[in-house]
Formats: sequence, structure tokens, C-alpha cells
Amino acid sequence: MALPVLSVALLGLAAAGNGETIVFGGGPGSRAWDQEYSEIAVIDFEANPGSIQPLQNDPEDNISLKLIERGGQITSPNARTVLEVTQSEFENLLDNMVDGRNTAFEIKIPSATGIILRFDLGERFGVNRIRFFPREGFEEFFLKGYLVRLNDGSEEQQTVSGNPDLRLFKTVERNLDPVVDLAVPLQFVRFIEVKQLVRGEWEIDEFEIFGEGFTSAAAYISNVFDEDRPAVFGGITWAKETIGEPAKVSATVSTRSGHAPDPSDSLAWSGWSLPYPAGVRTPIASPAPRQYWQFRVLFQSSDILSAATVDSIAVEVSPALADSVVGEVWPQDAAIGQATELTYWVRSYNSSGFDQLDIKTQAPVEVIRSVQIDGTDVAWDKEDTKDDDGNIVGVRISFPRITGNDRLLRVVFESIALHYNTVFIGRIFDTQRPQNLPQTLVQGDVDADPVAEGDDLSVTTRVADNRIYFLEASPAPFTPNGDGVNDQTIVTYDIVNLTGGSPVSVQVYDLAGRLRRVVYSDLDIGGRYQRVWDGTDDNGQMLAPGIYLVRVEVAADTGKESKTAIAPLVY
Amino acid sequence: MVTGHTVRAAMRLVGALAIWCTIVSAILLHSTRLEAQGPDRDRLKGVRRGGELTFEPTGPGVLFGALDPAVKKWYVPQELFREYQWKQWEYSNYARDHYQRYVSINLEGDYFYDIYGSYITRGWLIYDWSQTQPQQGGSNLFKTARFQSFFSNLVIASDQKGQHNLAITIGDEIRSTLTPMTFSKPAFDGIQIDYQSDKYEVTALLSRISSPGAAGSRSPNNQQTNSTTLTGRRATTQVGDYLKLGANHVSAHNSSQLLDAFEGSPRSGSIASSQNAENVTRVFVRLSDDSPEDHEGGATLFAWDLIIEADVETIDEAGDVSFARKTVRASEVGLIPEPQGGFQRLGFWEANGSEQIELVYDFSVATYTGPDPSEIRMVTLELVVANDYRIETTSDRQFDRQLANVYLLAARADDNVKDGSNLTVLKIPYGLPTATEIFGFTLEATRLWGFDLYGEWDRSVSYRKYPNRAHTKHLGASDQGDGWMLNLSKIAHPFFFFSEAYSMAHNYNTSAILARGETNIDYSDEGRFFYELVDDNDDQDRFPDWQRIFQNIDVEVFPGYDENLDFISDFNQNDSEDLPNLVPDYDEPFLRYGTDRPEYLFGLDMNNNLWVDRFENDDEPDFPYPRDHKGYNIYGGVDLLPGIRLTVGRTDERLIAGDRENTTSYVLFALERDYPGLGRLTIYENFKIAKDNIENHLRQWNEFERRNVPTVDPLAAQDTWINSTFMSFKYTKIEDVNFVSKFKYDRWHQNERQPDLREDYTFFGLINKVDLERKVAYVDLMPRIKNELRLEAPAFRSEPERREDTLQLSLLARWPLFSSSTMQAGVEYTIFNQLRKSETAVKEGLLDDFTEIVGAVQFSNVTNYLGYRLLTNMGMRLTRRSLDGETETGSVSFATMYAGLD
Repeated sequence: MALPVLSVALLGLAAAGNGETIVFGGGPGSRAWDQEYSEIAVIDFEANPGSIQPLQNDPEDNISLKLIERGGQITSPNARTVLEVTQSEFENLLDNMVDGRNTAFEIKIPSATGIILRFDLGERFGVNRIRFFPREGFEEFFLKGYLVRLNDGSEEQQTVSGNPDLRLFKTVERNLDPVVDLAVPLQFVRFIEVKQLVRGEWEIDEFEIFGEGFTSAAAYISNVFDEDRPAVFGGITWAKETIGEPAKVSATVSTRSGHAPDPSDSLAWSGWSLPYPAGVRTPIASPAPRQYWQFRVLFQSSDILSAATVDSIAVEVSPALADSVVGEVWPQDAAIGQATELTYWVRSYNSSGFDQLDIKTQAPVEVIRSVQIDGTDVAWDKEDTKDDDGNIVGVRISFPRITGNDRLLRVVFESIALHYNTVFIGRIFDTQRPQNLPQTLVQGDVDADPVAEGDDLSVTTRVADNRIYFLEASPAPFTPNGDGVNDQTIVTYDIVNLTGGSPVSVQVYDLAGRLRRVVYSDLDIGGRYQRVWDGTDDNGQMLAPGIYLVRVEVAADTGKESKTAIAPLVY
Repeated sequence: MVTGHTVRAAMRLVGALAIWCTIVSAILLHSTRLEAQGPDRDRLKGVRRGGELTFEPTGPGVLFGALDPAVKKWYVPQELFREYQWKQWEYSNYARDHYQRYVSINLEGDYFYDIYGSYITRGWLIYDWSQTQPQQGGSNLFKTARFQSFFSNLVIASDQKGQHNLAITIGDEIRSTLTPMTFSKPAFDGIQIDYQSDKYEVTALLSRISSPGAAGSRSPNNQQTNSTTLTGRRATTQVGDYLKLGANHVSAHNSSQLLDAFEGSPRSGSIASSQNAENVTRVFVRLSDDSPEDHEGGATLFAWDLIIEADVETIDEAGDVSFARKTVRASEVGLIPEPQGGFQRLGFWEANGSEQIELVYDFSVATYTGPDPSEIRMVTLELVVANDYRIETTSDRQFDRQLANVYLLAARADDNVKDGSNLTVLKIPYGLPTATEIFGFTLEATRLWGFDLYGEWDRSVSYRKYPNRAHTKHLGASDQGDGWMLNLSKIAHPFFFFSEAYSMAHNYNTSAILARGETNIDYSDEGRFFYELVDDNDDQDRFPDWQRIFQNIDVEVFPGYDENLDFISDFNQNDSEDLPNLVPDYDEPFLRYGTDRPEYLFGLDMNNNLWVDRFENDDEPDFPYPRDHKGYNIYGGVDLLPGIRLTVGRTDERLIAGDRENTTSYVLFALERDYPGLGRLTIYENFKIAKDNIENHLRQWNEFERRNVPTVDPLAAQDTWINSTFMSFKYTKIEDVNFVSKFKYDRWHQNERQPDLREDYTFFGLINKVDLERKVAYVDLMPRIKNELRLEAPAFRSEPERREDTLQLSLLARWPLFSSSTMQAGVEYTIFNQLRKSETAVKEGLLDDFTEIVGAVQFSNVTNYLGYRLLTNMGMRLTRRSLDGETETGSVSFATMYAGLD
């Protein structure tokens, strides 16, 4: 088992972030799974120490004993009418079949027939045996004829109205055996229906269900963690393993955060986030700053003998730089692909201090007009921020440290919008406390300018028909002669309104129409991109001087689109 | 001065007057009594004009004989006096003259007059449909019991002159088709008017489909205030010798009889009063992933707003009230709903897989400052969306029986875009469904340069209107979906050619939602509130396959040709309308000798779902081509020799609102030859190269569950070589001996590994059966042997391989009793084996080995009785099955009589 190795690797990954890292499971020094949950459903803590996984049934364990506890239920559409008892008495009678005690569900009305009992196991279990019988001493009161129908609880076995479509498993019109012991080919079962076929008095002491394999669904919901004051979140990293066939199992991890201790308060708590991928550090998507947070692990399996296990989860948390930081941008509409002057306000409340603002943009920010704090111009500095591939993804502006309550930062800069809703996400940093995680701005009304009515950080453009908005090769001409001046040309293009990656290629053709160089070919989403061409062909040979055509093509799902620019090459 | 003489003279005058009056009164009374006592024979014989008898109404007249100034008038002549001479004032004593019961005038018929007051006929009303506006319950459709008892629910009026022919057909089960894409029903309940001449054909259809009326006594159900009316028409004209042009129009529209004449629309329909009972106060929008199976690239929502049009009341300075049309955006009047569900991304919301985004526009929230719901005439959703979206809308006036909201589809994205490149602004007017309309044209050519051609284009328009209690006219909008098909063929012996091209939009709609009286419409209940212009009737019998109100339904459907032309599916020969049998013959004792399972038979599977097309049963309307599909199919071939044919073709089709496609190239070889004195040989070979990931789910018979169940298309031809070989030989050389052998081998080889599928799906089926008829003494004996071998590796890996052999031995004996009675006895012994090593357990999901013996005895009698050939069968059948060490027994006893015509 590679789980300890995974745990070590996980801690290594988590250490790449900032703030405090809280690790659950995995081994010594971390928080124990079985002490940090608020709610679990068919979770096994024992099978793989340090890990959690769906409960594996012991062939000797009667699944029905915990049916009620699991959220399952026993019902009958017609027995209560026959028995003429109150609803609560009736429910107690039904529960007698799964209580493990010497109490029975009794139908002692000789004329009654067609009584139906329905068992909802609460989850899908791998079932291979069903057994039911009357109490000891009452053996003559067994079901003289019965029919058993099964349903696996999947969507495929639902009727149009969403009810389980129970499939006939067994019909015994003349039963002579007081103990009905049915061997079931191992299969997922969630719903079982038993119907009486022969008149007579009968009872069921225990309705036992046995099986093996893993439950098809399981859940682990952590405690609500209280950070004492508003906190911000960094990344989350988690590791998983598989028992059986990996293609048939899944485990997902999500988080949520809130202002109040009770997560059932939907106004104070966010919804569960999208699942985070396993094995890589991923920024936590739940809103921050928040004082309370929680995570959830969901297991799914379509194969009885396969299951996923979760070894450990690492979460980065640190105190917020301010109780609240609100951001707003104006104007809120812009011509697509055109440089637009934008005013960016940040209002902070009860801040312990910050001195940098990151603004995520779709193109390099060339111009910053001014930076003001509480209406006063201040000195500032800027640098581009880049992603792991070196692409510029925004700008970082430094300014004098801001602390205290109700402080207003105003930045005027030029940028472009390439999406219908271009969101200029902002984050603040405190360079004096690098161990603290950055804090993301919340969109809202900064209440700084009555003209600015947008109350958020997005800028809207028109819905464009084309996908390539801008293309330029610069410098033109360029001279790849190795003198260090204009040795390469930079192909800049804007892809607009693409939210998912589409194949984009940048190709160089000569005037005869021959393809000479593929500069770039990969997936791009909307944004401004720059690709470098050094004047060589695909074989690395310098091309002859002349006029070349740079062609950018986007193969979007709705069709291909291309644009061409001229790139003169001289020596 | 008044003297005594004067007084006396006056008294004499009064006395004389009194006497005169008494005499006159007596005369009058006598004369009127005379009139009353004698039946008005002239009245009953009608009015004679110019020597011709008519029953032209005369209306009440001024009768000389009725001028009786008595306070109590005993003499009013009425029916009882005319028919029986019973007088109202007379003591009725029947001691001598016995009482005569009332004679039913129904036996002689009523007198009927038309809307002009002209006498029509004496007889009986059988059908009456009138629409009266404005009037509560103004839609009145009545079929009397005689419609059923006299005419078996079908009456036909007709006329003909020269080449001109006219027929008016009223019935409740009219096989009616305008075109297969516009209107096609096996049992249309309504009126069909047909005209035909040498050059022209015209058909008109009429029906109150919301309640077409059953024959019987008059009831409140006959009268409806809200109803749905179907009108359909088709006209064709022959152009020259080769071309025929046609035009079609069908409309199913709701109407309210409370509106004035001409207020409603026969195209877009009217809001029913049940729809208009309350104003809309909440509008709901739901966005979801149109291709949820890929769990990505689902609906993305960038911006949302609601455009509200309202007639706002304004009062000017003079105090005059007027209404002005005002348009506001919900976002401007404090109504900006927060999306529920889905996930928020940078700048947009997204719903993938099973996720959904819901927006609720609630006009009752405190922040809303726009027009009052009672003033709103129309709302239009404005959504900026992208990717593979599916948008559904509802409101608090669009609900089911439990008053839960029912969403109806409003828009779907074309293809399965995932990169956001189809970003678009959608404007979706909200309204309640009021009508479905289809119009289009057809073009037929026969032997035009040797080609036969059929082309059809149709557009369906689904209308909806926004309800408002204060108004009778409502603003609306519509969705359109187009469908077209083109078939072209030519036969130039020995060569032949056929091509078909088609496109059916996903929103091509042939369903109408019914307004049924004052009942709230349950928009989720297809069984009670939907009417289908094109029915699902895969077995092509007289009953549609799906449950819709006012029509019978097929309980079980077994599609296939009726090769023996007895109107019964050849897979279920012992089924009948009065005595339904829901089990196909291949799963019934004795009958299974003659009928083989469809898996063992050969046929074409153009949609690559492992089922022969002609045996497919689905839950879709029987359009020539499925909705949301476009593409073509083309083939050509040659008749190499008589009975030997080679065909080569290609299919290329794709989904319109999805990114799935089917490209299949195929070769088909067919050989059928008779060898006189020996038998008949049949060989079929079908080879295909397919790339097909379009799902074609069905509802087919399941031998384990013994019912038709949803049957999943395993998508076993996503990149696949497919071979299907079939051979059969029927040996007839020996008299009274029938020997049939059938062999089928299918192999589907996956060129690319599919995670859930076997690399090779194979089916090897072999059926051998022989029967013999011999007479021994006076007993007819028929021994029969049938063996069925099935070796199958199913497409899904999860399903176990089947290696099964079924041997059936049966013996039937029949001997005469008396002159027209016979006894028949039969026994059938079945041995079912899983072909495996004895120590190996049977795999889960498969039937265990069993033996079964069935014995049956039957007494039959044939008697001529009252013109019928009365056939009586009495007997019983016993079944004993031994399975897994257990024995199950069953029995059937029966006594059945048939009134035969043969």
C-alpha cells in the first residue's frame, strides 16, 4: 500500500503554500479522521488506518440492522389498513423486523392477502442473500407464498416519475419452509419488496440482508472548524487510492465556509464548492474571509468490489488581512479588445495592514494613471504577474501600507476586456507578513463615487461574432541576424469570448502559400497572447528575406476562424 | 232621469246579453272541445303546399277556437290528448279500458328543423357539434347512443358527380394521415371531409380533441367552456403527368367560449379560463447541461434580465384614466434574482452534468417596484448564455396536479459546444401553451426521367400566451421547428438506386396541450393533457402504443410485418382484442415451436443498436426520421440473378442539438432460391463499417422480466466492423415432414477499446426444427422437435456470456369424438442447459438449467348456431418446471367459445 508515501508527498505539496497547513489523516502528527467528523454515512475508519473509505460489508453482517440508523425505511402501502393501527404503532411494528430482537411484524388476519413490505436500505449495498423467518415458537406463522422484487437504486432503474422500478427476483407461490433463505446473485440493491401471495396468518421476526463488497455511495463531512476570527484560505491538497477498478470509483472533496457556527444557516454559509482535483494543490474556492469552514468527501462506486480511499487532506488557512475588503470597478462596459481607462476602488475594514494589490487582467497593464489612498496621491510601483508558463496574467501594484478601518484605495489604469463579463479580480498582500495568505476582494459597492453604480469587478463587452479580435506581428520588419536588435518578431493576438480551451495555431506561410513554420499549436481560452517567431522554419533553418504571412487559426466548437498578418523578414 | 221603464229595458238588455253570451260561450266551448277531442291529423301530416307534403314550421297561431274567456282553461290540446285522448280533467279509471303505456316517440323518430327553421327530417339525432360564443359551456359535442348502436361509431356521407367525389366521414377510429410528418393517427376521432377529382385532392379534418365525445346519453361533459380544436387540411394538385404538389396545414388550438366571436385565433389559440384564473406572480427559469453525460461544457450563464411589458394605469390632471404600454427591465425595478445551483466561475455561472441553475423572478418581493402583476401583459427573458445549454421555464401558473411547477423546454443549444464560442443573447418570451400549428408542402414525382421522388418540408409552430385576468386578448410568442425529407429512387433493371436526405429539428413539435373544460391543465401529465398529431404506433396496428386520453392503447407492442395478414402481430398470434395475450409466442408453451425469437431472425439495423429495425419499439412519434437528426442515406445495387441481390450504401447522420453522429457504410447480399422438390434456401450477408455514437434507446421484450422494458442502446458501433450472416433452409421433399434450419452469426468488432464493451460482440444462433404429421388409426399425430442454440458474448462487459441450448420435444394428438367434436392432447418437454462444465456454477444474471414438461388436453366442438360457426374449446394445461432442485407447477383451465365466420 502506497498510502504513507502519498501522505508524505501531500505534506510536501501543501508546504508550497502559505499560512497554517492543517492535515487530516495520513499518519502521525495529523488530525484523526474519526475525531473530526460531524456526519458520516457508511464510512470505514478501520480497514486502512489513517485513511477513510466506504464501508465494506462483512458477509456475516446483517445489513438491515442499521437500516433505520442509515436513513433507510420500511413501508407498506396496504398493511396499515389491514391492521387498523395508528401510524406510530405501525412504524414500530415494521421496525420489529430489523431490530435484532425477538419482536415481529405480525399479520394475524387469515383473510388478508397481498400485503406488501418495502425496504429502503438507505444506500446501495452489494447483496447476495436475503433471509426472513418468524419468531422461535411461532414457526407455523411463516409466509406461505411470496414474491420478492429488487431495485438497485440507480437512475437507470427508476420509472419516469422517479420511483424505483422494482424488478421481479423470485416468485414462490407455495412455500413450505418457515425460514426463507434466498441466494441472490451479488448485485447492488437498495430497495426490496416482499409481497404476500397466499392467505393466512404470518409474521416476520427478522428480515436479514447479507452481502459483500463496498457500498456504492458514502460520505464524510468534517466538523465545523472555528478560526476565532475571519480567515482566508490558500490551497487544498488531497490524496486518494483505489481498491479494485479505478475507472469505476470516484472520490470528491469539496469545501464550504460561513460566518456563523451552524452550517444549516444557508444565509451565513456558502454552498459546497466544486470538487478539487486529487494530488495537486488547488486554491480553495469557498468565500473568504470566513471564521468557519468545513470539508466534505463523497465516495461513489459502480462496482461492488471496488472503492476509492482518501488518505489525507491538507488545508491552508491563515488570518485575514482585514475583516472585509470590498472592490469595485468603473466603467462597467467597454469596447471589446480596446484599451479602456478603468478606475478600481478598494475599501478595507479593520485591516491589520497590506501594501500590495494584485489585479488579474487579460492583457499586460501598460499604463497606470494614478494611485490614491483616501483621496491622496501616493507613490506606487508596478510589476507584471505571470502564471507558471510565464504568461502575463495581471499586474501587482505596491503602495504605502494601509492599516485601520474604512480606508479607500483608488487605482486608475488602462486595460482591455476580452470576455463578455471580464472580471478584474483583486487580491491584497502584506509584504511585511509574507506568511499570511493573500486576501481576495469581495465585489460590492465601495460607495466611493456616486457615478459608479456597478457594485462589482466586472466589465461587460458586446457579444462578438468573431473569436480573433486582434493580430499583430511586431516589430515589422524584423531582422534575425543575431545583432540583438529586432532579432525576432512577437505575434500578439486576442482571443475573445472563449471560456473553454480551443485549438489555436500560429503558422507562418510564404507568399507562395507554403507552410514554413508552426510557431504555436495548443489550446487557448479567451485572452491576449504573445508568441515569438525567430525567423526560422520548422527545420530550424533561417528563412530567406521576404514577406511572410502569420496566420492565427482558432478551431472553436462552432467553427474555424483565422486571421492573417504580415511579417516582413529582412537581414 | 232614470225611470223604471228604462231600468227594466236595461235589465232585459243585460239578460239578453247574458243569454247571448252563454249561448256563444257554449258554442265556443263546444267547438273548442270538439277541436281538443279530435287529433290534429292535418298537423301531423304537415302542411301541403302545391300538393307536396312539408313540415315547414308554422309557429303558434291565433286560433279562433282558443278564444275562451274562462279563467281555467281545460282544453289546451297537447300530446296526451292527441295520442291517447286523455283529458286533464277526466277521472282516470282503467277497469274497462286498460291503461296503455306511453308509446316512445323514439321508435318513430323526432321532427328536426335546421337553423333556417326548415324542416329536415323525421328521425334521430346521431351527432351534433356546435361552438357558441360567448357562452358558458358553448362548445357542445354530442354523439347519441345511436351513433354507436346504429352505425358502430362510423357514419359516412358522400356524393359524386362525374369525376368529382366527396365524402364526409365521422368516426372515432378513422385511420387518418395527411403526411407522415404532420398528421398520422391510427384512430382519429373526429370529422374527415375528403374531395377528390382527377387532378385535385382536398382533405379537411375537424375534431374537438379535448373531448371528442363518446356515444351515449347527454352529459355535462358534452358541453365545455374551454376546449381544444383540431383543424387539418391538405390539398394536392397534379401538375402535368409526373408531378404532384401538396400543401398541408394542421392546427390544434385552445379556445375559450367566453370570448366574443373573432376574439380568439384559430392559429395561435386562446388562453383558457383555467389558465387565466390568476395572474402570474413568479416566473422560473432553469438552465442545465444539454449533454449531461459528458459532465462538462454545460450551460454557462453570463447575464440575465427580464423585460416586462405592462399596461400601466395613469390618471391625468383632469382625472381621466388611461392605460399606457410601458416596458421596463426587472433589473431596473429591483428584481435581480441570485442564481441558485450551478457553480460560479469567473464572470459567469456554469451547470455541468446533473447540475442546474435556477432563477426566480418574484413580483411579490419587497424590492420589486415595477408594474403590478395585474398590469403585466408580457415578460421576456433575456439571457446571455453559451455552451451546451438547455433552458426551461415555468411560472406559478404552470403546474401539475399537486400544484408543483412544471418546466417546459424553451431553448436548447445546437451541437455540444464547450468552449463558449456560441455566446449569444437569447430572448425568450414566457407564456402558457395555447396552440400547435404545422404547415408545409410536399412534392411528388413519379417516373420523372425514370426517378421517383418524394419531398416534404414542414414547420411546426408552438404558440404560447401570457395570462392576465383583466384581459381577454393576450400577448404571445412562438417557437418554430423545421423538418424536411427528400427521397429519390430509380429502378433500371437490373440496377436500382435509392437516396434519402432529412433534417428534423429537435423542437419540431407535433404535441398539443389540451384545455379540458374548467380543469386545471396538468402540464406534466402526457396521458391526460397531451394530444399527439403523429402517434407512436410501431406495430402499425389500430392502437397507438402510448397512453393518451380518449384513445385505446396497446398494452404490449411487438412490431414486425403481419405476414399472414390476420391483423395480429406474428410474434403474438394468440392475442385478440377481447382476450389480450401479453406474452409473445416464443415464450409460450406449444406456440414457441412455430415462432422464433427476433434475435435469431435477420434484418437491417440501420441505427446500430443491436435490434433489427422492423422489430423496434420506441416511445417516439412515428416520424419518418427521428427528431434532432439530420443526414442522408444512399444505396445502390444490382439484381445479379433472379432472387440474388447485391446492395451497397452509406449512411451519414448527426444530431442537430448534440455532437453525436452515425457514419455507416454497408454491403448487403441477399439470396432466396427455391429448389423444386427439395426446399427453399435463404442466405443474407450484411457487412458494415460503422462509427455511430447516437443513442437509440428502445422498449423491448425482456425474456427474464416477461414484459417490455426500457432497453439501452449500448453504443456498440462507435468504431466497429459489423458482420451479420444468416442462412435458412426449409426442406420439403418428404411429404408431411417439415424441416427448417436457421443459422445466424453476428460479430461486432471494436476497432478501438471501449471501456464498458467487449472487444467483440458475437451472437451465434442455430435453430433446427422438424415436425411430422401422421394418421394412426383415427388419431392424427404430430411429433415435433425444436432445438435452439445460443452462443452470445453480449456487447456490455458487465453482462455474462451466454452459452445456452434449449431442446423442445412435443407430441400433439387429435382424434374425433362424434361428428363435429375432437379431442386434442399434447405434451411438450423442454430441456434447457447452460453449456458449461458441470462443476462450474451458472453465472449471475443467467437462467439456471431446467427441465419443463407441459401437458395440455382440449375438447373442441364446432356447431352451426344462429348463422355462426360456434366453436367451443374446453380444457386445461399443466406445467411442471424443475429448476435448481426446486419444482414449480402451474395450471390453466379454460372454457372458451367463439362465434366463427369461417
